[in-house]
Amino acid sequence: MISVALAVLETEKQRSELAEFYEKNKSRLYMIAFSKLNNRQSAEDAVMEAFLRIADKPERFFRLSGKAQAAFANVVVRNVAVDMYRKSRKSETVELSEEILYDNAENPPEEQLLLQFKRETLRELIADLPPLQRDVLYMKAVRKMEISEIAQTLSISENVVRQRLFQARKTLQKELEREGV
Amino acid sequence: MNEFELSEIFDAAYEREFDVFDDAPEHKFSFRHRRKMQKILFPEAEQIPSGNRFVKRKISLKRSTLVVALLIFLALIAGAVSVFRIAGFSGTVNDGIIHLFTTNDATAPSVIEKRYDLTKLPEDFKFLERAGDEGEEWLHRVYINRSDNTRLTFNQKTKAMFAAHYPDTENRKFEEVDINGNKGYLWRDGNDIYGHTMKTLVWDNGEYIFELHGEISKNMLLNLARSAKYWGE
Repeated sequence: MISVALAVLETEKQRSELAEFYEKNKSRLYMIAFSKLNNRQSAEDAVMEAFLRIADKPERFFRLSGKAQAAFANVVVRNVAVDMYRKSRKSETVELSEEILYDNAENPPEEQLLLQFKRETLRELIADLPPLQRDVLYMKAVRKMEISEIAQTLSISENVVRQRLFQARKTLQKELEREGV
Repeated sequence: MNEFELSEIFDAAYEREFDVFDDAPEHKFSFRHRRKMQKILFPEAEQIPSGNRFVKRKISLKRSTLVVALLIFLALIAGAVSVFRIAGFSGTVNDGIIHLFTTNDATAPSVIEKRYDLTKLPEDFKFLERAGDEGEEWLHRVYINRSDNTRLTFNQKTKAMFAAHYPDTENRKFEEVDINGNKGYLWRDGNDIYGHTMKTLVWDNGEYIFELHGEISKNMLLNLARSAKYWGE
């Protein structure tokens, strides 16, 4: 896994940038992971795993700058930590049946839904969305990632990505109906 | 609304969600973690052939301390850093950031031995999340008022771990306050994107350093700070 990740950090510039980002943000990322895992070693492992995932598809990360990079890393670490926590508890994810799973072909893109809202309404809606749903929505609608990319980055299955997008869409559509749009 | 505004809204939501972690103390990562990160970021640094053995580079603590001290000295000479002292704390202002430190007291606990809790939360505030515990060097709690999404952050830190960094807003003034007979300092951080005025209160009770950040009135913040009690009392 490590050697695969290493191979894609091809340029010295990328390595230096990522190393600098790591040094600047490592303690904060550790605390985000620790707040979910409550275990030092696991939290450190979550940070390392997050950087492996970032390094695996570096173009996504290096296209961003400043706060967007920090937000992206925060989201990845948070999801990796939650995934580790769930695995440690051996909790099972109940998957939705195939009939009601999110279907890309039949539904308009998420960004199309989001752009219909007024700014203030959307700000509240996004703040109130469960964090894990917000994360997949953010990666899909704002960062324009494919479902497979989101799954790989957040260390979850594609079906789980689809489930969370489905639930987020339900919330958005419900709000749009409430507003009469 | 356009895609740029959409991106701004998400980024603001994340900034708000994760800003409670922005003043996390520096964590001392284990050797195991540092080694693994070294492999991810700079694999060549490990592979220095020397009789078919890997050579590990070690930077002595003494040398790195001297280098940091020299850099601070040079920055002071250049006038890039201003230094200030308010009783119990010292700090520097550099490039728009205030760095606050406390004098480490050798008799103060090196880990959290007594957990302090806020005993009089303002109405409608509920516990949201926490990190750290007794036996750690930092204890961190967040409380939230769901009706208007305002948050309170309460940190308890050992003196050895305390080092805080705050953006230096114009005309910042430290106001000295009394927290149950201990000196504390209160200042306004400016407004967040929702128009809430953030305030920070820092005090030293002789054993630990406490920080309280909140978007509530000054009097509520002070009363809250004064309600902090060791839960074993």
